[in-house]
Amino acid sequence: MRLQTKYILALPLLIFLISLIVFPMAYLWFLSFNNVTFVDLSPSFVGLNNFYSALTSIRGILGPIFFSFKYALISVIIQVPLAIGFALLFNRKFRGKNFFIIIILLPIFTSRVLLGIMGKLMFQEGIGTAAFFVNSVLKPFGLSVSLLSPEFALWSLIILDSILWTPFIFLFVYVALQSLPKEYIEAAAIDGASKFGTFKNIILPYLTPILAIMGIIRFADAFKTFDIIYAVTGGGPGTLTTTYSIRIYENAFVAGDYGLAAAASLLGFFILFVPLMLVLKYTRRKWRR
Amino acid sequence: MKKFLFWFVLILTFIIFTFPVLNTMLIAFKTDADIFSVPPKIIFNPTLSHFEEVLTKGGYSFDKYFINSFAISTISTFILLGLTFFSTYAVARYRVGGGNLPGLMLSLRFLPPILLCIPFYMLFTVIGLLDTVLGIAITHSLINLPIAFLVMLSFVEEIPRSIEEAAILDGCSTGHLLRSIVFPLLKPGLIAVGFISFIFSWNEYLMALVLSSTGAVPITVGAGLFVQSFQVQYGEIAAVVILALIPPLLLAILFRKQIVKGLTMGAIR
Repeated sequence: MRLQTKYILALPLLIFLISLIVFPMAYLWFLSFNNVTFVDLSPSFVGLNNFYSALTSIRGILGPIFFSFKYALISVIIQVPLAIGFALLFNRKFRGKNFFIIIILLPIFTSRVLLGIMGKLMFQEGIGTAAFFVNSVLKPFGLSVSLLSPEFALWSLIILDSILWTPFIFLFVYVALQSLPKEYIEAAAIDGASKFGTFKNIILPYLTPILAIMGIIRFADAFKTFDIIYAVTGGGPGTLTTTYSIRIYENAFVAGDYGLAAAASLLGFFILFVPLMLVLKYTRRKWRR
Repeated sequence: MKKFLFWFVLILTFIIFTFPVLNTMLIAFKTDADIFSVPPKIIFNPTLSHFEEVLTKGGYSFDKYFINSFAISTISTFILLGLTFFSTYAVARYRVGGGNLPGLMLSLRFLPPILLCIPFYMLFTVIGLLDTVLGIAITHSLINLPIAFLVMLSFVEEIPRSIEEAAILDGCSTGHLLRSIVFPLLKPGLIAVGFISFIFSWNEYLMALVLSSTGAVPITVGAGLFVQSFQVQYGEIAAVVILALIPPLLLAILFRKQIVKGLTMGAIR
């Protein structure tokens, strides 16, 4: 084996990463220090101006970052326990199990923007079945709600998000649960442990590493959310459900202010994603099997 | 009683998770009068008129978007297969990158796509890749690279070293080794990575939205365009969504074993 062969094998990947990550990221930094707009594409140096506007102007990034944070946190808090529940539900033999698992996993392979459109067809007043059901239940109490109104938009989005992403977490928790040695559970049963005791003292500690990693990954993905929310509410009503990604998209491709958008995206990256990456690195090292 | 409760929860779960698709399917097959009826009708005379309308509508080229999606996903899949086949072999066997590459890939997964949208949009304008199938396919390869790399690496690591060592002792060259020994043994991995990349590329929206305007619009962006242009034609909107869902879901069902194995092996390391 010649020494160079291994580098030749890895060379295409290296070229790919340099041209599509290193170079564009460098260009993004360059944009963030310059005034570049749709009207005036020639860059002019403005120092930290873009970062200042990204923090303070009405097209700034702090509000959307706060919303994204809230959205991601609620998603994780709802979806991780739900996924554990489903994994326990499926952790037994019953008729048609494989069929049910396949159907439950299908949302993983569904386009998020299409699911958003489907969500709109559910929540919209006039034709939305979900809107109809909710209002039929509330009618005897003399209430009527709009699922996309400021009060309920966030929760409608969370429900849709959970339909899409709980299966993804479920898959990994379920596979981990399958690898738990049956002897542990049997031994606990012989010792007279209750079902809840077995869950708390054996199953949950065994699942902790995968739950931690899935929680972090899901949080990061939920924070990035664009497709679903853009399709259902377009960031509204008003700017109530505008996420980090939607605000940057609007700044760059609707308002045409590329410099501001570049600075805003970098700020979000350093406020959130860099710490998350470090947390994940620490978590993986701690539980490396 | 316990058994009853179990099935009740299971069926309820089933209904909730299939509800968006079932609801959309019902709308797609209803006549306009039935769509707007209150309460919503569950039994009705199905019609194919919305599907016909979508496929023939003036000013809306469903077939073009569909073909674009197919082309983008296919090109992106082959780029990824080529990239990951050679690089994961180099990492697994010769520790290229000193064991840091898997971690780097995982960090890449955290990079928000919106961050790269802006430089890609401007750079693609300069080099003429804007609004081309190839340009979008390249960005999809980048987005799916972390998962494809990690899945492929897990499959390469499963191949027993002894077979390759025997071949090398017999004087087999690296090219020959990769072609006639590693490639056949890695087929399950190539299938898993291939279909995962194809499905995820088909479903991608943000990059395609930013980088396409007329020529290279894929079906996810096309569906969004339909909603914007024909706001209240709910039957047609539902029909577009159902048609766009078919290819990825069909692949996921047909190759579920390989795809699920690949996902669970690769995504968590």
